Amino acid sequence: MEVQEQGAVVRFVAESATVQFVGLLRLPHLRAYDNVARLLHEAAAQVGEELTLDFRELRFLNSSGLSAIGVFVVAMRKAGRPKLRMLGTKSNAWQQNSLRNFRMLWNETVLVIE
Amino acid sequence: MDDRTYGDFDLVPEDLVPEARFSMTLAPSELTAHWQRCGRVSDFVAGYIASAYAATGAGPGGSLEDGPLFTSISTVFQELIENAAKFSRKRDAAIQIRVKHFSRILMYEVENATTPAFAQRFEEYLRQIAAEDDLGALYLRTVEAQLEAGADAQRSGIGLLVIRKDHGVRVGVRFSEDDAGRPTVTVRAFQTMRGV
Repeated sequence: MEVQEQGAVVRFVAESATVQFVGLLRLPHLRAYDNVARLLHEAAAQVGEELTLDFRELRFLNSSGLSAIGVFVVAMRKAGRPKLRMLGTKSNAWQQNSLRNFRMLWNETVLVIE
Repeated sequence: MDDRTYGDFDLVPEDLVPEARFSMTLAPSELTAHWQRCGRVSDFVAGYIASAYAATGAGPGGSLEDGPLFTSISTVFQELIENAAKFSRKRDAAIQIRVKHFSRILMYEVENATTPAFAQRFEEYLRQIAAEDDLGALYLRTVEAQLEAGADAQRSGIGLLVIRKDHGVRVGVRFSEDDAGRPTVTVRAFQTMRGV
C-alpha cells in the first residue's frame, strides 16, 4: 500500500507493521492529507498490537501534516489500538521538536529519536 | 484606523545593523498556483543563512541541507510563507519579505495585504494565543477539535503555535492599512539559532 504526493512517498510495509515516510510533506491544507490519513487508518486496521511510523527519511512536515497525523493519533487513542511507535532523528528540526506532540496526544505513544 | 501590534514585534531595534540581510517580493497567486514554491522559498532562506555555518551546521551525512540548522530555518519560514500565501488578497497584492541575521538571532518579516475578514479572524486567533498560558493545552484542544470536525476541518490552525511552542520562536504581529485603506498584516518572527 503506497501513497505518492508531490515530493513524498508514504508506504505501508505489512511485514514489519511499519509506515515509512520518505521525502517532504508540505501540502497546502489539512484536507490535502486525506490520502495519507486513509493509508494510516488502513495500516492500523491490518496490524496487531503495534504500528510503527518511521519518519526518519521525512525531511519536512508542515503544520497541516502535523495536524493530520495528530488527528490520527487521537483516533487511535480513542480506539485503544494499535499502540504507536514513532522513529525520528535528532538532526532534523521538525522530528526533534515536534514528534513529542504526538505523545502529548496519546501518552502511550513510544518515541525513538536517535 | 490606528495600527495594532501584538507580541514581540519590536524585539530587535530597527536600526541595529545585521550581519546579513535580504528582501524579496512575491505574488501570493504565484504561490497558491504552484504550492511547492513555498518550500522552494523556505529552502532558499535556509540555505542562504545556513551557508555561513558550513563547518557546524551539517547533518550526519555531511550535508548542510539535512542538518539541524537548515531544517530548522526552513521549517519555521515555511509556516510564515504558507500563512501569507493563504491569507493574502488574491489580486493586486504582494508579499514583502525581509530577512535579517543578527549573530545568533534571525528575524523574518512577512507582510501581506489581506481582506478585512482574514484580518479579523487572524486578530482573534492572536488574542486566543496571547490569553493562553499553556500552549501545549491549546495544541491539544485544537487537534481534538479537528478530529471532531472531521471532513469540515479545513485548516490546521497550528502554524504559529507550532513555531512558538516547538521551535522557541518569538512572534509579533502588526495590523495596519495601506495607502488605499486595505488591511495589511506584518508578521515578525525571531528565531534563535542553536548549536552553531
